[in-house]
Amino acid sequence: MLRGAVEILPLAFSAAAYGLAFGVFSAEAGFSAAEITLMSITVFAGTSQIAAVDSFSASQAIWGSVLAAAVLNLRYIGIMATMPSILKKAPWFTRLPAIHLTADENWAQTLTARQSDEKVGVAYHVGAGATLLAFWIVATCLGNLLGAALPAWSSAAVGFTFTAAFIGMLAGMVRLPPGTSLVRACKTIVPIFATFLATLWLAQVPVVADYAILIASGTGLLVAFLPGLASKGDDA
Amino acid sequence: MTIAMNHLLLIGGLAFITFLFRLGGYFGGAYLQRFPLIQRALEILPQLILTSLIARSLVDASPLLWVAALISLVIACIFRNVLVVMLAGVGFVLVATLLGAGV
Repeated sequence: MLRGAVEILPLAFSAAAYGLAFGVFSAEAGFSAAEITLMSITVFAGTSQIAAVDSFSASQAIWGSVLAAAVLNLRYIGIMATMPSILKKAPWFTRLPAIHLTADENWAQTLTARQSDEKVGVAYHVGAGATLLAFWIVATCLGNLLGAALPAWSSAAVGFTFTAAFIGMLAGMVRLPPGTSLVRACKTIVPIFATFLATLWLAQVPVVADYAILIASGTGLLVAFLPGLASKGDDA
Repeated sequence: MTIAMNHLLLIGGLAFITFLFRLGGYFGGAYLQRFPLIQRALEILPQLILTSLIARSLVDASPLLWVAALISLVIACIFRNVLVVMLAGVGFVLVATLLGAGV
């Protein structure tokens, strides 16, 4: 457990910097330190926490924001599919917290460490996850307290923080290596562009504005499955 | 140290669904990924949600914030590092605000 806790430290510091910025943003969006601490403990999924706060501060729609943010966590279905081999020997009272403590960083760290050492298992994973969670809680709470003390003129920049973060995350997810064919590039870009335009339009429509993010993403998904865009690996 | 009811519902709802996804992935993730359609949807939905969040934040934004978003996009394509993009985008908005640009 100690080994996992130590080896995750570089990634934990990186997550803390990000958490600090999220904390500042959350204060700007009207969330208290207690609320953001509770969220960090119970959700422990940075991107969706940011999305929930961002979406809620824009729309005040609770369930629309919950669903939009939760969809970002669909990746955990793929991540957790790799975990039974590591967690299956643990008793349930250890396995359930270990499942909750699985985040992108300690998942990747555990799998990487396990490749070179088969003894790496649930204790390593929980040690890394608990350390990451501790850093995340402290950073988001501290950021929230700092954010509440920021001057008013900085609010536009703070408000833009996570637009920039989402742009950075999106660029990290969309892979168009050099030499990518035009067809392949279109398959990736067209659904994204359709979602962007649909959101801009839907956000102006009073009846559906609260669910604009979900409806627009659904539209993008439909576009992605249109004939000609649906097949994944065809680079012709 | 107060917790508003609407914030509590937001936090509780997100925590519940997130844990369900983690638990569901643990038990059924490998099975679900056998279906190409579901695998493709799981792969691109997060990209689309992020796109929608970006668009939503720009709906009523000033031209300055649209320029900041474009700068962030260019920086993101070059560096592919979230913290660098945040620093560049927020830095631009801060400097522009201090120079008197309207936001």
